Amino acid sequence: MNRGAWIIGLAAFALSRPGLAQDEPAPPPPAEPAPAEPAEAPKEPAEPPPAHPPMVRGKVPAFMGPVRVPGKKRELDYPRSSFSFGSYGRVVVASDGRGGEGRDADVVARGTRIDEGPYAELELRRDDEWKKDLSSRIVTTLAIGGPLFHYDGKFDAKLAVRNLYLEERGIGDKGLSVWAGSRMYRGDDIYLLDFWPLDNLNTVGGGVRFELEGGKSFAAWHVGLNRADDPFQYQVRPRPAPQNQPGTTDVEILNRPRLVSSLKLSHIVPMFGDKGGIKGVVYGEVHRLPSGERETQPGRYEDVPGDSGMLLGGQVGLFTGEHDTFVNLFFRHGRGLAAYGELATPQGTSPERTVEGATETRIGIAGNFEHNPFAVVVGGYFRSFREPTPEEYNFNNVDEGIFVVRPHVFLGDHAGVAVEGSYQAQQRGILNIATNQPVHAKLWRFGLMPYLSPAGAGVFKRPVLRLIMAFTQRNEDARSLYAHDDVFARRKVEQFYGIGAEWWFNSSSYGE
Amino acid sequence: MKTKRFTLAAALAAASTAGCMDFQGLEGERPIETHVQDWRSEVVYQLMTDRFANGDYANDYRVVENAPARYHGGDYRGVEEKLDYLENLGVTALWISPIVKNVETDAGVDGYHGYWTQDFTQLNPHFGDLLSLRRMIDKAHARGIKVILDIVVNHVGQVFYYDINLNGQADERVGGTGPLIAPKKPDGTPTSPVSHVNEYDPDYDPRGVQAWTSLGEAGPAPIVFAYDPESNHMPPEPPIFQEARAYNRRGRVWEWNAEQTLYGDFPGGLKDLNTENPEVRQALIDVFVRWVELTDLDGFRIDTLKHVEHDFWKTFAPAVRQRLAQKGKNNFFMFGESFDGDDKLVGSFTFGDEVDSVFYFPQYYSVIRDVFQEGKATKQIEDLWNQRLGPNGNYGTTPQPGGIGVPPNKALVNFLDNHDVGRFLFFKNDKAALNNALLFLFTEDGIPCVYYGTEQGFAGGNDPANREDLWWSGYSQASPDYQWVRRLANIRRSYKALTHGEVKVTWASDRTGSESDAGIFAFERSGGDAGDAYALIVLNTKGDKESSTQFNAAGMKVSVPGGTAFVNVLDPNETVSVAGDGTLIVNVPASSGKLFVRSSDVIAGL
Repeated sequence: MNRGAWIIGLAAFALSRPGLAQDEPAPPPPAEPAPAEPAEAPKEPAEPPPAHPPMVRGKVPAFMGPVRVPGKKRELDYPRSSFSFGSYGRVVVASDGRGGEGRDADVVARGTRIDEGPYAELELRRDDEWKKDLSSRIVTTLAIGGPLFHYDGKFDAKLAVRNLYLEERGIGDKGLSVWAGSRMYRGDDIYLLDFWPLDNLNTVGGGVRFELEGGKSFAAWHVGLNRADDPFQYQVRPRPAPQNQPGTTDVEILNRPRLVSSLKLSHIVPMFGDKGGIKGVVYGEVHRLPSGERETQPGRYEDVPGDSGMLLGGQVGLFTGEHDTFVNLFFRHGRGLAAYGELATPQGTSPERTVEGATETRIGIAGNFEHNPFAVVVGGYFRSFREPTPEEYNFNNVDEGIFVVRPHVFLGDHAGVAVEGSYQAQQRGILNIATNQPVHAKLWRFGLMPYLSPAGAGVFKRPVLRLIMAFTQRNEDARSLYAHDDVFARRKVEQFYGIGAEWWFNSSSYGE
Repeated sequence: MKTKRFTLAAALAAASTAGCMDFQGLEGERPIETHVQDWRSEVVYQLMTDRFANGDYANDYRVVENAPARYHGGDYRGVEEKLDYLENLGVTALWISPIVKNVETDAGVDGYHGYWTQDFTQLNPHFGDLLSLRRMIDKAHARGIKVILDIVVNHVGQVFYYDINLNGQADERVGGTGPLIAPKKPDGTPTSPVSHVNEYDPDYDPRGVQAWTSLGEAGPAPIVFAYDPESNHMPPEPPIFQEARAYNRRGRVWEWNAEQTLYGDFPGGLKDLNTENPEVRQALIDVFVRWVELTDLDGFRIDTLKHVEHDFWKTFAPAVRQRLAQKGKNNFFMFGESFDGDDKLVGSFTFGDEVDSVFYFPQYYSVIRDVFQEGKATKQIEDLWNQRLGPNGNYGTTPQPGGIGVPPNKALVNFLDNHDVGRFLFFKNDKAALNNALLFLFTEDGIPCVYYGTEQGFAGGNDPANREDLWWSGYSQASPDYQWVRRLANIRRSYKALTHGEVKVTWASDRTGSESDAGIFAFERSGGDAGDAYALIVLNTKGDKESSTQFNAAGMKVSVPGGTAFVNVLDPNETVSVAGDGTLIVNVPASSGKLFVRSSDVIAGL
């Protein structure tokens, strides 16, 4: 009772933060790591399977403990430490069947994974258990984006530090954990789309999570900051050096980080003999951006008013606890600043130079059903985004959706064939001047993926080696979204013949 | 759960197939129709789209509001949002900036004005999408407001350079060719002061721009189309405009003689189109008819009319009329800009199948500038009008076949100022003089055209200082200037004599000093298509004294019987009567005017 009231209080506190605001157009989310499923990590029975089994909280992972001697019970020694390595990764190389490189042909913001390029995360993790039910964890995750050196011959890499945080658990209550640092902070995804439709925040900040006994319910609150390197939030200008010194010094004319706070309440009602259950999630965000000023011309300044926004969403899921079978439904609606990704900045603003009036609505579905030797995994979403500008007809106003279904046939325990069919469409708020009709890009895709899976039969078993063949048919409006001279502006059918590998293990990036 | 999953999936698929946006019928092919019965009843308002109103902040890229030669953010959405303002002002037709895609920027100056075409088939994204343009026009039509598009067929933007030194790159400076090529004056000095040549804008050469190396001339200089997406110096569209034969390729005009005017590049490197080429002609007809078909425009204001040969207009104008009539649009108004005080030259485009009308530049010089701003004799007005209205006048006296049904000499577009000349108040900072000129504008025959900002007392100098942002005015509808224009428009609309009456000058003076009639100009509007309607306008253009319609004891003779009682519409308390001998003597204070109608015709409340 007390814990429940505390959770509600947290929710009320977070959701009562000041107002709606507006923000920037949602640029395509940054390439995000695919969900990782630490194959070796112990699974919490009550959690929905798959895509990313959550980090086990308040427990000592098996790999951390001392070697147990059968038949002899011994006292554990504290403190105990361990160092772990985890990773998500995929490497793909592909041809377009015409002598060119296989390319991602999606038109929606989050298209199918089947033609994604290389991406990997390397996670280094230090765990310390100071005494029973009191532990800490330091996580560092380096992300690597393509192209790879062996592909383009450039001896460099696109690197980003994503996770860099410390989490402490069990201080005050064994269900309580706190963290601070840079963190990928997210829930369940739509695996086929590499997309987290409900919650996916990348901030530098901190948070608190409180889990009720039994691990069926938790509340998690977080607050973080982002400051995109964009004139909407940040502007640096050279000024004469102070004290009559020669040269110049850079001055931050505008530097206004966005404050993002989120609250998530999750509860699982056990079913299927406690192996499965129904999962319900209520989720909200508030965003705040202070006012400031920026220079428009040398010596001329304009006020930049403050902004805010709010987002509400939810998730309902059913999981059986067996064979990674589940279905999740997602919904969220964001207004103002919260209609944009936390690192996104707007294209257009309201007359008051704010993003008040921007909206984004998402509904999504993810599911998997396995019955050896067959399985089918599905994913889809619909998204509607509107800029805050009074003009409803502009390119950045988008309605889009995609639905993907990928049946599998397992050929024994270590091989299989997946067939993927998908349809995606995107409508933008302009006319195609060539057709005099609204731009309504559509594409159909058919893919075939034979694969090898040493970890066993299952949609989410990793690692896998696979061959990828995909054929995408795109209508004229889909082609019209590409610039002149881009072959994608001309070709109706795209081919993708690739070979790839995908793995995930021992990663903590996808916990809640 | 299976059912739920299927239902959501079906909903997702349906949503993504159909789309959710409501385009309000603005998409697809749409019928066009005739919105105008008689263009003489219209009040045109010229606005620069970039400067009138900013309604969409999503298209404000590269906006630098405090630089007059850069984009400022105005767009079609802004125009739409201000239709109340325009309707209340009495405007019935909008003349908007060119809509086609332009060279973005050149030498620090932007294509915000619209006269630097790069692609005839695409819209300038700074101003909005086809949807917002269509919606603006639809909403204007719903209020009875027509829309006129500014078009340019003489030239395109700076889309290619002449590779004079044959090195395959656009050089800013190629030494010495200007004086060598240019003909010499009799005293031997070069006619062109240019001692070096910019390959984007070399001097006119009647042979065509010549290549030149250290060993001398090397034949015609090849043209090379620029390819710079950032500044949109890109090969023009449609593809015919990527052919050398589509251009005259003779370089920049340095003397406005007949030949250079027709065949030379417009200063600033604006490439002169070879409008004698049938393919070019057809392409220009096609692209501009298409814009009317797409948006239901009501007319064209045609830029640089005199820079294109008559034969082009004899092809272009009938073709446009014919094709639009086939689609259901008649009375499509085409008037041209011939930036010249030569009345005969300007009028020459109104004969034989050419344009319906012209921008009355000779009146701008001879009347607005000379009389209303500089105080010259009002006889100049009568003289100018006689060249238009008299026998063998300079302007067409029969309507163009398939045109607007009004003879060109009665449908000239009158103006006090525009985007190419300094504002009235810049040259004469006297609101009374401006108001008097506006009274003249709204009572003379033809079609009045008000340059945006006049109604807010703007006083900018020459281009681009005369292209102020209207939003700084706050769009006040209470300002005296706004109220004066509104009142004049209302009066013009209410008295048919002012829109349709024939013109008869009843008093003009060649005196400008202390004489009793110095500065007086009076004319009647009656008869013709106005039937029995009658109006008498008496103006005193002198700014420093009251004058009257008499001189040496001779009063002004009017066309109505003696005893006719008049009321001054501008001051209904003032009534006068025509003397028994048919004369009328009226005293008019400095820089003001009176508008008389028969007392029986007075409409109250104007």
